[in-house]
Amino acid sequence: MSLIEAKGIVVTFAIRKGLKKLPFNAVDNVDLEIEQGMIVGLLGESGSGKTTLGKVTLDLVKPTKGIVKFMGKDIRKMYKEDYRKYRLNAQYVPQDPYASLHPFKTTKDILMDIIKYHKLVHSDKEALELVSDTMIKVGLNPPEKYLNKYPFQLSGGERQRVSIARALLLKPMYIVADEPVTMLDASLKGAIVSTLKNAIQAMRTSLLFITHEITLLQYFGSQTKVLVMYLGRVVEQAPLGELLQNPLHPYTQALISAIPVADPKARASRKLLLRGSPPSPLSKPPGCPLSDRCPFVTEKCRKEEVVLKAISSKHLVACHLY
Amino acid sequence: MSEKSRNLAKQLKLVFKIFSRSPTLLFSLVVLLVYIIAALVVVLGFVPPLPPYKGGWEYMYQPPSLRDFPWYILGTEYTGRPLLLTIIYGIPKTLAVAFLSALITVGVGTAIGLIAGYVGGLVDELLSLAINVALTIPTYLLALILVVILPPELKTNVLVLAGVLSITAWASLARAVRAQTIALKRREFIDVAKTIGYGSWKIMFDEVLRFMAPFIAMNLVLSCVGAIYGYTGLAFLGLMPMTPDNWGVQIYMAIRGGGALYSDKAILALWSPIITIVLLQYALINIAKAMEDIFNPALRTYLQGEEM
Amino acid sequence: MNWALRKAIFSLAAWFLAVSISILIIVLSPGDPALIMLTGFLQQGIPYDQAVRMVQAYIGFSPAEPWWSKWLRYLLGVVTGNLGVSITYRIPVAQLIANAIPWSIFFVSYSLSLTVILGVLIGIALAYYRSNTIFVRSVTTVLTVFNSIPNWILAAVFFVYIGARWQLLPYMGPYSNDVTPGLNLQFIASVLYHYTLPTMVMVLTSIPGWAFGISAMASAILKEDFITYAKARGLPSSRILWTYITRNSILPIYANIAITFTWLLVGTVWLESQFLLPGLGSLLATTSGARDYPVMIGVYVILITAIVLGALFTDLTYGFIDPRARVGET
Repeated sequence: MSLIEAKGIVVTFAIRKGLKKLPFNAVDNVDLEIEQGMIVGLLGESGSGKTTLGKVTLDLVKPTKGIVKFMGKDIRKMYKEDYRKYRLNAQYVPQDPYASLHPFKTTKDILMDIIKYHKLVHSDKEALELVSDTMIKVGLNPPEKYLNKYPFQLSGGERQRVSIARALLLKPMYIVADEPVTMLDASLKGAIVSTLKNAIQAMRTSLLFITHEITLLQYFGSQTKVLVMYLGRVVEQAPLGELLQNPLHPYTQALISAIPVADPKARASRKLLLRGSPPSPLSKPPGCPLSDRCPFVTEKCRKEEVVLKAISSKHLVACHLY
Repeated sequence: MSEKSRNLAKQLKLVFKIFSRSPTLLFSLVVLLVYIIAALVVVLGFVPPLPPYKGGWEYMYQPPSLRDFPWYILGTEYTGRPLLLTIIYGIPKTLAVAFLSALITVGVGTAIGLIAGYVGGLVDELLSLAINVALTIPTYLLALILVVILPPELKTNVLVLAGVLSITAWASLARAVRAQTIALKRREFIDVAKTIGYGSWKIMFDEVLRFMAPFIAMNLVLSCVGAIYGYTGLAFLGLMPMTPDNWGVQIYMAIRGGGALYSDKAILALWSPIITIVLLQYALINIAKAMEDIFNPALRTYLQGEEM
Repeated sequence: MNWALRKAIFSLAAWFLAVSISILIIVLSPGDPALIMLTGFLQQGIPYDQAVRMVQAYIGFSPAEPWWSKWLRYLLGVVTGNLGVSITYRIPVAQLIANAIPWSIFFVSYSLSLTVILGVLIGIALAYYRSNTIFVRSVTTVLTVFNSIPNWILAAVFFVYIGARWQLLPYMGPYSNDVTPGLNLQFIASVLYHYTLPTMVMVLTSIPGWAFGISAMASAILKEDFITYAKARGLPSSRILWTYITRNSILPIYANIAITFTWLLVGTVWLESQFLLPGLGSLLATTSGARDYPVMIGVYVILITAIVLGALFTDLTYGFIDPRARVGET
């Protein structure tokens, strides 16, 4: 049984243009399965629906269609006890460390409050120990140095570590990390991702790592399951190693060819460019969502919907070429 | 000293430090403290009771004298009582009406705005309608009507007065709090608070409200200013019971009964209550403006750092 | 136009609810005017049945009927223009109000336009010369002092000193006795002269809110990227100020106009009675003192109506100026 199972998720938003409401599917019929202790990478550009999908699995966004199951039970039809268990076991590390920490609360307030609210321990001393342990785990060492600081006194990296500590504090079974290092300096990114990885592996926690940088996923190993999203659809799904070696979908190929390479000769040979401007969920073409930008486009692509098909047991792709 | 009281002392010291950065603010704080101390002195009974009413021209608006020092240094007012004493007697009641009214205004306004903004949906529609209707009814206008029609025994009741003076005053705060709550709801720290498993009440009254704390505190003080305006202003129209300890009544009498129009006989009786009111309002407005700084964590830590 | 109609319907609903709630509060309070009037008539020795009929004739509803029937009957009266009869003046309330309305419209619109013009000018000056600490500090101090003086206190002080004691400006009545009311130059000049002092009080006590609000907004706009860009392009500061700041501050100015209008309208209660001017405010103040309930409640309802109309008017005119306001609203 999977820890998190999302089936047929559709999320419809509407944006207002003048007096008209234009509906569009931010997430369009997506399945996602995460086993206990597993790391899943969710790759896509902004507007691909990856953040919305992550929020759906956290019950922060209600899907228009589809169900989310936690340990086999539909989260929308759970008994109170079960929902509470799900709630405390599904945690979130959002993208912006500046907007995700309450500006008027110190690190100590933010972390101690969680323990006190859920009455996890009996004394303040125990609570402080738990907080300190977690802080050390995420690299806020020594904890005393950070406990009484307000978010504005912390660096971006330190803030993100506090944000991770907050997610880890309840020892959850599932964490969604939404672009946790995007707003940080390049030199810090690796360290924070490693911290996150070590902490969750020690607790056998599952992780949904949402990113637009395929290179960051390499920290989790080549066996990491990766889903590539484009305009609300999953276009390809494969273990990271396989995906890098043998990308099937033209969009994935384009993403991989965009990885900076040090060797200028290699660069030219790998180049694959998509035409047109970056996608907007409002102007999704009929048929394959990539049909307006794909270099291999055929008549069929513009007319027929594509579905995800299995090329091998672990490699799925949604493209009429295969 | 327990940790709590030590903490409180530390907080007060910090507030004082913020105030002492600007002479205007320091002055305002001192003024407010003088009023609060005067109110306490009256409430605790350290001030002689008001002497009985003495009719007759010879007792009204007497010049200052050193009799019963210091109570006659401003002379007497229209009932022949010492002016200074009647002004001081006005402090606790005015402050009580102002503070209670501000509590009601801010309590109701914040709660309605928070719930409308956070819960949304039908609840928001209904509460927004209530806010919009209340916005079209000026507080002092309805308060004026109510003060006229209410029986005298209710008009002198501090709680009733506070309620009357905040009758629709909560609406503009509720509208602002609602708008801010809707904006905050989209912030990531609210998403995180939900996944942490915090309940709606905890999120509304700890996470969201704490974010708006400076704004709420500022409104609490400004609501005091508004209530003092209404309390003294309605008395000046002659619509409140003619109690000698209402500053509005004192100004009213100095102009209508004291001949302030033609002579300087009642000059002290005219200017003393005016200065009493304006000084208090001035101090409160300055303090309201400082709330942003008092709650600003950056400034607080900067000042705390100075100590070390 | 659909949008304008929707706004109007919404205003009508708000007006209906505001008036209804006020009437209900009044008739349900321990001081229901019908009962108080009845008690008064009974004390004068008038027989019960006749007293009830008299109350009904004056205020429009009877003390003997239930609250909902009082409310409905009064509302019906408001809609049909029958607001009862004044106890003190013995003439219909509607007639008293009709005589008072032009004076209040003149006083409030005169004060409002001066407040807005001066408030915006001072606010923009504060933002523009914000590096000049001495200027900002002194102006801010003066504004804060005027902000802390209640308008009725300033009115009383001006009345006593500038008026009665020093005789610098007229302080009683709307015009001098030697002019004939009508559309002649002497009359208009006399009215403007007599309203100088009251208008000064209105404007001085309402400017601070405007100046502070506009200056905060203009300072925020001055920090925006497009201002930096405009400066980088070498646009003269004065041009930046007028094209960008004034254009971007129209919405808050409009939103504030309705609020200030309400505030000034309520202020007439004190100011018109202080300076012995005719108008809705002084009518409310004098009849409140005399416990003339039909007039009080009638004026109250008219003032609420004026506030709703004022808000609707600013909404509609703003919608015509800025088409963005017409869309995006739910």
